[in-house]
Amino acid sequence: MTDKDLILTNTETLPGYRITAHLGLVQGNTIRAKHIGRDIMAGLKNIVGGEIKGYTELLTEARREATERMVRQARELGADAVVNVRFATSSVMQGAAELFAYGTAVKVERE
Amino acid sequence: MTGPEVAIILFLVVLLPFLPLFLFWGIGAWGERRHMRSILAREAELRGFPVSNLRRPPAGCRDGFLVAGSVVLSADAWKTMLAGFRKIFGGRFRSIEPVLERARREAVLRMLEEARAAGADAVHNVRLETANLSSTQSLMIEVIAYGTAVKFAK
Repeated sequence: MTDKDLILTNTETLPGYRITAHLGLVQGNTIRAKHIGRDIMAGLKNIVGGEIKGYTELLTEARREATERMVRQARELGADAVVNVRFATSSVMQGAAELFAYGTAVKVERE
Repeated sequence: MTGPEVAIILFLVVLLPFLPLFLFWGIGAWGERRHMRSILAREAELRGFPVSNLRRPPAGCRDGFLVAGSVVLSADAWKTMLAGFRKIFGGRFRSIEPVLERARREAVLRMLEEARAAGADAVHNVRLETANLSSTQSLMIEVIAYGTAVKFAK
């Protein structure tokens, strides 16, 4: 397994691979403010309803960042993959959302 | 002033504050129908693509990788007002149930579209997370759908 293609799955096993070692829990998080530049559009959408695209993009980007931090941590442990990945969003305080990702770093080999 | 004039003025005074709400109801309902049509059309396109929430992908799968889809959806002011009444009288929140349903189906669709674009044959162990992003009375939810995309062993 090369270092750069670290595999992520949310299953406990990795299809096509055998897990040789569990390296422990890895996690990444990020907290983003929801109301920067997008609050006017969001306010309007709260009146007429519908998707708030600005927030969808913001949170998707934030989740990518949280995932990247988790992956960085897994690489430091020398992992080949992170299995059983879970995502969660929480409103930690008014106007801010925390996104975090966590999973189990493992070493694998092809079956 | 004659009787009819008074009636008209009373009518306007009583009803005018509610006119915008009726407008939001119209726009919201139109948007909801349009979204639902889009969801149904895309679901029809993806029919036959295997998707499950089984924790272990069935035998014969390989190359697992994570796929995710998300959406932030808000309810219109009319629905928010109806929900406000519901909180007083209790019962089923019929007005906002469709909003959550659309959000979940949309998130799953986006996840499946990502999986298909990446060349996957199936998605297993799908998980759905719902988060409330609103800091006021209004409804603003985020739904994330994620799962493990796999290819079938040749």
